[in-house]
Amino acid sequence: MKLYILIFLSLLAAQVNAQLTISGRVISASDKTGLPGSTVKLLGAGSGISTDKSGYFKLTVPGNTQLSLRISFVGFVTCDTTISLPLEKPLEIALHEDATALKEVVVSTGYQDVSKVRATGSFVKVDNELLNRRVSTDVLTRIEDVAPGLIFNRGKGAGTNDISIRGRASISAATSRPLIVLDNFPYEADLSTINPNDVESITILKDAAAASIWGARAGNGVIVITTKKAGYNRPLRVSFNSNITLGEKPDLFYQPVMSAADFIEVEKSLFSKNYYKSRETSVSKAPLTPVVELLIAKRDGRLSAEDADARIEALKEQDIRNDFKKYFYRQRVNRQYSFSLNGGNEIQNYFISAGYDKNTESLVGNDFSRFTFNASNTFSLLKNRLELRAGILYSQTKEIADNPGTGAGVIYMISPSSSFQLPYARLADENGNPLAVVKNYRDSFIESTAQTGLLNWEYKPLEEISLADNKDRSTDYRLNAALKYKIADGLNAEIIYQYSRHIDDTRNFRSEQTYYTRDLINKYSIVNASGSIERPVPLGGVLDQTNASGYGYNIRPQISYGKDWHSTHRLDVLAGYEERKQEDQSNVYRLYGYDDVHASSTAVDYVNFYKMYYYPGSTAKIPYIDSNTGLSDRNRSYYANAAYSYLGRYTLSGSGRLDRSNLFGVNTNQKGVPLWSAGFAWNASDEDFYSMTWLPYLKLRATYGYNGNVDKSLSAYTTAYYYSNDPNTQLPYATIQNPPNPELRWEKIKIVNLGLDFQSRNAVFSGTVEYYLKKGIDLIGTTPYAPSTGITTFTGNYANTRGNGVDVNLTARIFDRKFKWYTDFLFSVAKDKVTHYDIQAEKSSYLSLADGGGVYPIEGKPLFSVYSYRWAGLDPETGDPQGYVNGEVSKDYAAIASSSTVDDLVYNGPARPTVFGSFRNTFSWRNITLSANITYRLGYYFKRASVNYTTVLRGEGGHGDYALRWQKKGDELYTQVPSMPAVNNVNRNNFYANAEQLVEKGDHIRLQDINLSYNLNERLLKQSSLRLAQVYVYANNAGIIWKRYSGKLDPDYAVAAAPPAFTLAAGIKVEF
Amino acid sequence: MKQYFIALIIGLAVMFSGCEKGFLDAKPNKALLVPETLSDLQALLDNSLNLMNQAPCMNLIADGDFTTTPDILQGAWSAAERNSYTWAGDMYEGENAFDWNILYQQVFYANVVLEGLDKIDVTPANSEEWNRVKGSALFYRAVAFFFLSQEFAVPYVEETAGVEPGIPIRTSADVNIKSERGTLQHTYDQILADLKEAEGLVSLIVSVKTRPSRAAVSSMMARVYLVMGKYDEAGKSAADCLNSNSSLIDYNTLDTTQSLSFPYFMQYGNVELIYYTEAIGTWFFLSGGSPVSEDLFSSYDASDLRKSVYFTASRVYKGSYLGTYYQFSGTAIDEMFLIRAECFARTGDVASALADLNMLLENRYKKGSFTAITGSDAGEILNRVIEERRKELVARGLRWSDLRRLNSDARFAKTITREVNGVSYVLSPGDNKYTFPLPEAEVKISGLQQNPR
Repeated sequence: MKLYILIFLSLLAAQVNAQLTISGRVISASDKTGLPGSTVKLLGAGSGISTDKSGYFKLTVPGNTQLSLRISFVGFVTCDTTISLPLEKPLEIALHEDATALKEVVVSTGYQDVSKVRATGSFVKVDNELLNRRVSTDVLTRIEDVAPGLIFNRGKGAGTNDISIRGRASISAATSRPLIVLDNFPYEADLSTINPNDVESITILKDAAAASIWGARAGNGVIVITTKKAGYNRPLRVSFNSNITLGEKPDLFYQPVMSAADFIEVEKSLFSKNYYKSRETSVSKAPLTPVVELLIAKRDGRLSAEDADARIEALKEQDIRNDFKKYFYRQRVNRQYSFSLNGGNEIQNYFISAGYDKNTESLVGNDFSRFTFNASNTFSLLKNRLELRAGILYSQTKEIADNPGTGAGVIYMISPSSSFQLPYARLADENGNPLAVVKNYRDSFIESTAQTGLLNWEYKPLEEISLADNKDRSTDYRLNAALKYKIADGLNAEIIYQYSRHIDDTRNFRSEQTYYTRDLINKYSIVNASGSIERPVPLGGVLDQTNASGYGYNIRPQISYGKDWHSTHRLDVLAGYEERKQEDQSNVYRLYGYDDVHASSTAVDYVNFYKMYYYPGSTAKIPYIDSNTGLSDRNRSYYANAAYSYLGRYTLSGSGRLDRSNLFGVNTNQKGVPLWSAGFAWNASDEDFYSMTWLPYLKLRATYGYNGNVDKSLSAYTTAYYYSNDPNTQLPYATIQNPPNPELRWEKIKIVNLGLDFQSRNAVFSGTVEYYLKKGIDLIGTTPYAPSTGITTFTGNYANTRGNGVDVNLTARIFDRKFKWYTDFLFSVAKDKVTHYDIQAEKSSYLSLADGGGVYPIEGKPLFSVYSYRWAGLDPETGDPQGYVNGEVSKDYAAIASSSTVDDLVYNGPARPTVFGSFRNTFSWRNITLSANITYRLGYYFKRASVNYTTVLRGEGGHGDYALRWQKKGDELYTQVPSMPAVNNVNRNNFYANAEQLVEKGDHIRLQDINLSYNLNERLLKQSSLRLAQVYVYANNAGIIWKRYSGKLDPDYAVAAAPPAFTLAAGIKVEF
Repeated sequence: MKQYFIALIIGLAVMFSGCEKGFLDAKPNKALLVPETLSDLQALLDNSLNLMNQAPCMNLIADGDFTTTPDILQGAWSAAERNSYTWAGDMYEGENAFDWNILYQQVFYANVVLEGLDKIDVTPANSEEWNRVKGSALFYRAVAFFFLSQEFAVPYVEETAGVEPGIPIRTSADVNIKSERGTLQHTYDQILADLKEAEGLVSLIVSVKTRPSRAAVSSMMARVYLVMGKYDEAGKSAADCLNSNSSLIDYNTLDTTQSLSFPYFMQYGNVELIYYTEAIGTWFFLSGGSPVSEDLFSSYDASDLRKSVYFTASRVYKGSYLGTYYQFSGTAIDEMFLIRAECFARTGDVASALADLNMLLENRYKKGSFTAITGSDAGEILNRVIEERRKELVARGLRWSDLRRLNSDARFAKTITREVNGVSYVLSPGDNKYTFPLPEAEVKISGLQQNPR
């Protein structure tokens, strides 16, 4: 064998002697950068070659004087050229972009870059232009409403940046989020540390073939963020981007609440029934509202009737929301500056950027600022055989949270333990001087302490803003190094390493002047008979510090091989090993009697109980909050994937990954069943028999495979938590965390994906249609256990789900001349249902929490669903709400609650949108571009809040529907809000709160945002030697265009205090 | 050159990847441990205040010795707490039954420890510790079963114990084994078997009274036999216990002006305390708003120090042997004297019974004011012992068991009545309400037979 090869090589060598070598470079006509991987073909000879990473090529040619070359590159117009030998200088061939051709889209999986043309899986790429359409401080919101299948969950229970890709396959919240990858490695730090200006593109991996390389982490999809890099042989480029965003104050009047007048009327009526009598003599000094205090003073003759009534009437005019709006909120101002440099020569390239963000939040006293620094340098050595890359990503953020928020106006009752907002409380007097509001204790009690020597016990919310000193500083940096060696043509060995570290320090210093500290000191104070005061909680401030830090490393050696055999066969293989370690630790500690000037503090007694000054009947220890945690996450994975294409028409792909982690027990680690996928793609339009000339590109794809998910809170072993000392014995002790679960394993999500990609002639329209089927197997779920086992619930691989849906992405170029009108239409259907779940919760949980407040799955229903009681309207005689018992109209609320089972409830529908997408139109004329994104969410339900007489009859106010209640016969024709009962009936309230008529359809269409930009024209650019100059204006949260539900609420924000406020941004971008 | 770089890459890969063994064995959370050493197992048993030294609380509210107001009941921390007071049929209203859940959690811990021990070889070096841990685990399990039997199974009667349902006896940590009630006899057999085995294993002396000593095992056996009506054995066990230590606190030495009469036991000790366990905290007691019943309060003589040691002038209890606001439910020397005295009286040894009773009371009365009890009528003496039991052991989690045991004897049978918000509640001797219902989840999942109410 060896011998034949030698003979073959020597024959080749013999031929070479009769030939010449020409060299040159292929560049893009528009920006003069090299086009790596373009094909240079010698016509008539069949021989050809690909250009290198800078666009250079060397080609051996026969010694003819005239040669014809064909130079081609995907996305560019193929160029034929004739050259005469010998060449005087190296060739430079400029290719023009082909606006109508299929763009060579390269997507990143975090392991490799894949050409979309050859991909079998489901990828969505959000490119730089689309990312920059939005103006935001964080990067993730920029993919909102521009990627099919991806939705930002809103409504009940949804967190910030709560993303679902093709619905939620997991039951447990701990596993339900997509994996986020920054460049090559999972990113688990706070996403707000990433500067969006450093991001080049974002790729979303949706199906098994795309994501299974991420194995046990990919079950809910993967989001790969790719940062900007430089290129070889590029002159220095400098770019600058700055913008300012102004945001309105939130609409505090969004959620209707009972008016001050109604509130006061109820208080007066309760007072007349002696409702407050017991609280007047409360041993715990329970607070009473100003109106009740006035009524008491009037009753006791301490205040004349006219005087008291006049003051009460005056309070009816007051609305605390006005005060909040005036004193607690301001216009939000976000400023963003970013600056970057990049360039490169033959052997080296670099990218350096710096960014600064400063957000003045709408709550007075709250601020966010961020500084980021990003640098990377790449060297190409040993005649391009060795590439070395080193980089740093640094970010520092500071968050100030001094504003107590609107909770500042809340009154707390200790018994019955409840709290409520007083609608007529005042934060400041006419001159803006802070006023005290009722909070934890009765006014008379606070007054009585004035002479005792205790600290002032008044609470003035407005003062608290300036007294607060609550900061969070965090630093995050990542050091990257990569080494890539070309062993042979197409065969590369590579090793990538990342070291990351983050430090997050929260410091909340509450000085002796703050209410929190004064209250704490006073509560524990002991006033002796002699008048001296003992203070178990010492004078001085309370300092809470949380110091969290962590470090981690990732290392990934991998080998890749890619070869093209005469454009007939193409093979790409990748195999590697990855090791990941992340160690985090945090400690929380508190110092009492803290003096910020001298950094001194005082020891306190955490052991003994102290009588509460305000209520000697109760005792408490001094709060001890110190704690330490240490977490360790270790993973080892082995992965490989391969793709083979024949004639560029048929592509077969396969991928597998084996994960081992310190979470799984030995069983799962050693059983070694890899998560895998397989896919097939057929470029039908390349077939000889393909004749649809109007549709020059048509590709069909199909994939099948498994992704996984890990719940880090679980372990396969009987695990216990160690505590340093038992309060009694001072001995170390341990508690059992979970009973052994030797079968614990990752969740498995089986995904089938069918796709169709197409593009018409001249790219008038193009798009992708996909259908998928998702099956969640062995999902982490909780099942109830008999308490006699020692546990009441057990969490393990119990549940199954099934989902399916469609993702459509269509682009049309309606006008494509001087005036351009492009339309992007995104349409997704995402349906899911739970197919196996053991636990049956209380019926009340399904009614009040299954719509997102918690996870209460019912087999056969979507994970988040809205359930309700059947509604039979109001009783025309009494205004009582009516339901059904055994099919009969009934007002027996206890029977309604107890007789019906979960199956008897009305299932209204899913609580999360099942159909969603966007409709984005971009118009451009000359240098002006206008783009507006209209989004829609359909096929879901929400339950709106209404009046609950429990709080009303406790004198704690409630929902604004109170004003619409049934009051007299005939009102039932206009209202569905029940009458106020004389005596509170909890069952009646619960029935109404969960009755069908409060369920609304969520379907709506909104104008999400508008971007208007103006680019300086070519001539002016040339004159000013600029590459790009752009000014832009961006408006976000523009408003709802249409909604099915007729009320005032925004269906996506039905339970929020207020929907996101309208913001307007303006910015400038310059590049030279 | 090429080979050099390949070697470099492989070398780097190996260097960074830290091929150290045990990379995947690191604990995901530092505070997390897989209990496998003797000290890990001991640490589980030392989970004192949160679990292993907790005793049931419902019986203390239900036993009639303390009264309260509707306000306190309204503020109760659980439905079980509120409903215990009126012996309601539905005790839990869908909420957790803490008494049941916490005690079975103790059983689970004990079983985890016992199974963990099976995986640790006994060597001469560790045998003492190994035995101690095993004996402790058996003891905790027995105590948990005993407490459970006092609330959730009918009172022990030897003749019917073979047919009456007991409480689920779980001897394995495997949570997948289904619970069955078994017979009442089986319940008591297991309790005694565990205690007997523990007796030979635990240490003679312990450093902290949260752990069981030999005396603790005897004292608990005395309690169990007494409840079973096996007075010979009860007396013998109490004697075993008293042989090792019979010190009594002279109540004359206590400062009754303090808000708590006894000093904090962990810091200052309490010579009478044999084994520490305390009742699960309730608002009923911790609110300080539930005074002792008038009849019990007035039953103390003027010269009886217990009146002022145990209660404030407003009848609020302040006499916990723990020196805290929590109710002591463990065993103590005074209880052993009373058990032995009762057993002597029941077996006709009047002199010995009187000796024990006088020994105790001498330390309870004002110095010089106590005249020793005399007499020869065993019944009369027994009557006095029973009376002193109630007065001495108030708020110790014993009254409920005593009521259950003594109600079958017409001489001692009691009817308890209460009034809340104008509604009267009555608990007659032999009432089904002397046995609390099982938690609903238990009946639903394990399919256990519910107790009639």
